[in-house]
Amino acid sequence: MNRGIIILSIVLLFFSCKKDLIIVEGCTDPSASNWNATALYDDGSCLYDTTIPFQTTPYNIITPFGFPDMIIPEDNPLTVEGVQLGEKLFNDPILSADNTLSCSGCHIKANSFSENNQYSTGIDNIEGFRNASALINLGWNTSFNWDGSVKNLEEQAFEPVINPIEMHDTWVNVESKINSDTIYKNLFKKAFNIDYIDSSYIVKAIAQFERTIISVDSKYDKWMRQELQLSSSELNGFAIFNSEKGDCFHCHGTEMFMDNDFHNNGLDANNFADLGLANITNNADDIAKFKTPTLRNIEFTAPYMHDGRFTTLEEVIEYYNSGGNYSQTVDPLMKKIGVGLQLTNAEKQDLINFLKALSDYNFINN
Amino acid sequence: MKNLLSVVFAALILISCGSDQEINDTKIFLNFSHNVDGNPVSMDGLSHTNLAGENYNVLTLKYLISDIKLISNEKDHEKIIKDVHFVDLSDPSTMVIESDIIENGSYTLQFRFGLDATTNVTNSFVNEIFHTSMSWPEMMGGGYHYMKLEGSYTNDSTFYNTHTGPTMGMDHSFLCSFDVPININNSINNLEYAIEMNINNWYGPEIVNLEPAIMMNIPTQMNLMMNGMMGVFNLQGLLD
Ligand code: HEC
Ligand code: HEC
Repeated sequence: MNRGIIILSIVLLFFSCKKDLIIVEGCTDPSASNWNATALYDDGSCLYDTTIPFQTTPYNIITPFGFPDMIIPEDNPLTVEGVQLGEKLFNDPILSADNTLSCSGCHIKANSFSENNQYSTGIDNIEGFRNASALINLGWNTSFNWDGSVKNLEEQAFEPVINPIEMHDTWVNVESKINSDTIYKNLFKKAFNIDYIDSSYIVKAIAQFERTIISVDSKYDKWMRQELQLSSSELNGFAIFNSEKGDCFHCHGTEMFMDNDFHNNGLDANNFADLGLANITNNADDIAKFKTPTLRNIEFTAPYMHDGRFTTLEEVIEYYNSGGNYSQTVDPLMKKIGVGLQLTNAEKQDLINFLKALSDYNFINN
Repeated sequence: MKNLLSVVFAALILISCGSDQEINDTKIFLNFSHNVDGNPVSMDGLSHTNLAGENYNVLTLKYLISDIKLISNEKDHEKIIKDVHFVDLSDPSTMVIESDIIENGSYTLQFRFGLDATTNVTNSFVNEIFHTSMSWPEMMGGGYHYMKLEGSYTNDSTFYNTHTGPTMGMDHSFLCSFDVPININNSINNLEYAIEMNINNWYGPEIVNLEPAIMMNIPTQMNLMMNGMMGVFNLQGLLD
């Protein structure tokens, strides 16, 4: 610190003697105490006044009606600075090896942060084997990925960056790219008060942003708030959904339209291409069990299921109406196997109309 | 030296006796256990048979009990052990309740199966782990299921869902209390009890059939409540 000042004054003295020379090197960071407005190139001499205490602005989450308190890790509270930084990172291809693919390349806002391709393609043009998840209301999820391989968002964000079929970068490389970017240096300083940015702070910021992706302003929500009336078809769909006639609520229940649990909903009778939860637990009782996705914004997230096998909601409803297939681990809530739900064509349409009432257009458009 | 030692010893004994009398540190542990007519609960085959002669297995068992308390036999004094407890057969961490320290006395254990009408309100337990798995749609009365008992019957791919709860807002919850006296005095440390559920007793003496959907079936809900009151639960003292 002192030495820096001495060197700086010597340098300044030196330059000031030669008045004919234009000062080109100095501290170029406006937030530094010795910012030199005339310097063109940063010479690493910036000094920061450490007497100003580090301060962030808390970012408050308003818990939506009927939702639990959000799950926020104690060591990563939401701040305005952290969330803004996370959003920038989420949209920045700098996290991929060839700087071409960002998180938002596969998680597109117009699709409720999922994508319309059955499988996602990474930077090496290799196709994955699962459909990209929608990323809404994740702060209330207790596990992530279709097979529940990770338990919190910070941990989850480590993975796409280095996944060979996604962004195929290394964290060493990402850290060096981010640390040599003065804008990021400054933003991380403001959000976390750190001078060296290590990967754990990159994922913290991303996770903070993800927790703020909240969608609870659909037609259904407005109906719940008594701001409008659902059509008779939507109401009929609501009744099928929430009774044992359709029996969707047992897995896609509550205001979250998911149950934070894993089920085998009978998609296949055998020859499971993807073992789902059993990949993680190594337990045969978990074969073909997958995370229940929320049905909020379902209209925007086609194709459907972990492998994107259904292109339309019509196909999904036709599937459930068939009753599904029996296998050892199929959920006993799939109680119409072999019989089917026996919905009429009008009832199937009602159910679809209700699912579309879960679309939050304000969220997509803003 | 010897004298000093014995004085210290005597003092220690005195102190430890004294503290024993003043601070009673007895807790009770309630362990949940489940059987079908005394046999272990089976997930494979259809090895259980109910009163109606239907063969079945058990794949899911989740239930709520509430207002779990000890009622003193001498004075009019109650000790609440827990307001609401969720039991999930697939989650060992839900299978035991540990009480706080209980003062000396003779008690009777009581709890309510399910939630009573005033407690059983939609979204009133959003932060409890059972919120998502037990919620009961507003359209059918609202609040939470009391029990989800599920499995196969007739053949492996035919499922029954014995789901009990507040059909159209009706209160089908009921009280269970047990004759077994629970005596707490200074000479004992912790007491262990087993709350045993005989699953087969849900299906008799009032005949209840295995069916895929009974949430809106009031007569069946009433029969399940009657069978529950007549003896699905049993309290058993355990030696530790
Ligand atoms: C190549 C496309 C692709 C990219 C790039 C990508 N993802 Fe994903 N994402 C997916 C796919 C596919 C899944 C489902 C993975 C699975 O279940 O195995 C997924 C799942 C997720 C989930 C789990 C959601 C849930 O509900 O369980 C989160 C969170 C997520 N991604 C965040 C991110 C973040 C943050 C980034 C950037 C660092 C990112 N993704 C980059 C394709 C991608
Ligand atoms: C036994 C629990 C269960 C029941 C009952 C159930 N679902 Fe699902 N649902 C799931 C699971 C688990 C998935 C994901 C399965 C997968 O991808 O392998 C899913 C996936 C879906 C999807 C695709 C979501 C996406 O993002 O790709 C839709 C749509 C859907 N369900 C609608 C319904 C409707 C409508 C009903 C009632 C007719 C219903 N579900 C009943 C568990 C259930």
